[in-house]
Amino acid sequence: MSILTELAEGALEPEYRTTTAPRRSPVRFAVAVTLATALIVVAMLATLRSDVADERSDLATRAKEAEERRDSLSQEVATLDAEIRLLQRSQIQDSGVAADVFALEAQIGGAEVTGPGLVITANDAPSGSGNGKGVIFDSDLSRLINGLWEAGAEAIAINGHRVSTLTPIRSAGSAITVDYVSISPPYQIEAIGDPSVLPSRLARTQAGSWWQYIHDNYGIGFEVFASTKDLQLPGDPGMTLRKAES
Amino acid sequence: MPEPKPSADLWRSFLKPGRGQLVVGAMLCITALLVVWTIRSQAAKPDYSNLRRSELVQLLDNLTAETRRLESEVRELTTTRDELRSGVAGAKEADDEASRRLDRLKILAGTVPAHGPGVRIVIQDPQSKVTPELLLEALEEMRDAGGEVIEFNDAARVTTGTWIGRDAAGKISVDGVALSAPYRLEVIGDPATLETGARFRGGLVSQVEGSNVQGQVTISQESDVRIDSLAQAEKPRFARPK
Repeated sequence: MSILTELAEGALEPEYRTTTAPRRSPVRFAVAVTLATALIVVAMLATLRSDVADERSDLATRAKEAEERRDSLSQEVATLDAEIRLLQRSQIQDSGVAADVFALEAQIGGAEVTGPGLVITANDAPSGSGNGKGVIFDSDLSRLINGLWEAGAEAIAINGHRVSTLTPIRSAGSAITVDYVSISPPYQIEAIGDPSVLPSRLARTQAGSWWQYIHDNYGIGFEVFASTKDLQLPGDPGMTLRKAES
Repeated sequence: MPEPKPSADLWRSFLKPGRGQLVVGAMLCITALLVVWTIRSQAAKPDYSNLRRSELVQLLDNLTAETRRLESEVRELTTTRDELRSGVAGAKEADDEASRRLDRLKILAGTVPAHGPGVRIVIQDPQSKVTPELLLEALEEMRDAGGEVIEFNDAARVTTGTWIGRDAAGKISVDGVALSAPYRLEVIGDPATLETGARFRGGLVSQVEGSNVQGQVTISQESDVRIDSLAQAEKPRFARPK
């Protein structure tokens, strides 16, 4: 028995125990944890503070601020402009000039107008339908406005923003901007013109068929109502020229 | 764990994890937290997070130019208002201001010629692939870049009610005036801003020179662009001033 016991106990060389015993050296463990922590911290800093991300978010913040500043300035211009027009109207001696200013301003979109016409409501497709194509783009809106002019509209506003020759319809990020102000769906387009022919003429334009197509195929909301009741369209504020002279 | 154990032992070792397992678990937990946090902070960014850097710069440039324009406008308007309000201007001054206003309105209405700094853009279209929609986009780009007075092919003056379509023969027409290629756009405004607007990614130049149209665009900045074509100002029949 004693030989067997001895054999069993001595089967493993003493070195075997020392090399296979769990290495619980505290120093190594500490180094491993430190390295892992350092790695995580570096990764975290890289995510948060990377130059590119930093510059981008800085740009985005500045863009946001510039946008707010611009909006408050356009508001200011609009107020001043309205005030000046009132003051002028009461002070102009030359009634011929006054009448011309009054009429032209309304015609080119610089002053409030009223009249019958049509109202269009347009909306993105409900989410989930339209194969991801159910979103209205700036180009869709500018095409619609183009079609309305073609159909004989005399004055147009989108979500209460009057469209003049100085009014760009563009996009910034995911939002559509009219006159540099972001608007969001549903879009309401009001157009003054002959209510008895405007809707049918619009339907015959390229824009009309395009909108019918995206309505039928991508689920985009598109409804046209003739309005015999007078619509009220505001003026496009601050229609001034910086560079052009006659 | 030196040797395989029955399931009861497995359960016990699950409940009493070793130090190494604890550390790995903690690190996984932290990593997961970081990932979620990063994704959420990305998602919470405002509108512009999906714009590229170059687009952001362009957007900011446009905004700054527009802001500067508005600021000087506010200054001018404030002066005018104060003069009118105080009455120091007098009736003569009010009349002068009104006729200056009328001149400006006539330029905007397109009933008088205009000139000023700007750009001349020529679009070559050898394969007749340019569409009215492409020109409409170009027009919006020019408006966006501060274009004040715009004309197509020395023949069609752009005004508030301008539309671009096709005539009965299929030619591109602006307000019913048929145009033939090459299309020429003359625009009064800040020349550099206008050119940048046309060269913006996905804009006029990349559209025309892309594989769909295979045309060519040349843009020249001019110190004085003359726009002589006139629009017919039709009296509105339904829109009444208030």
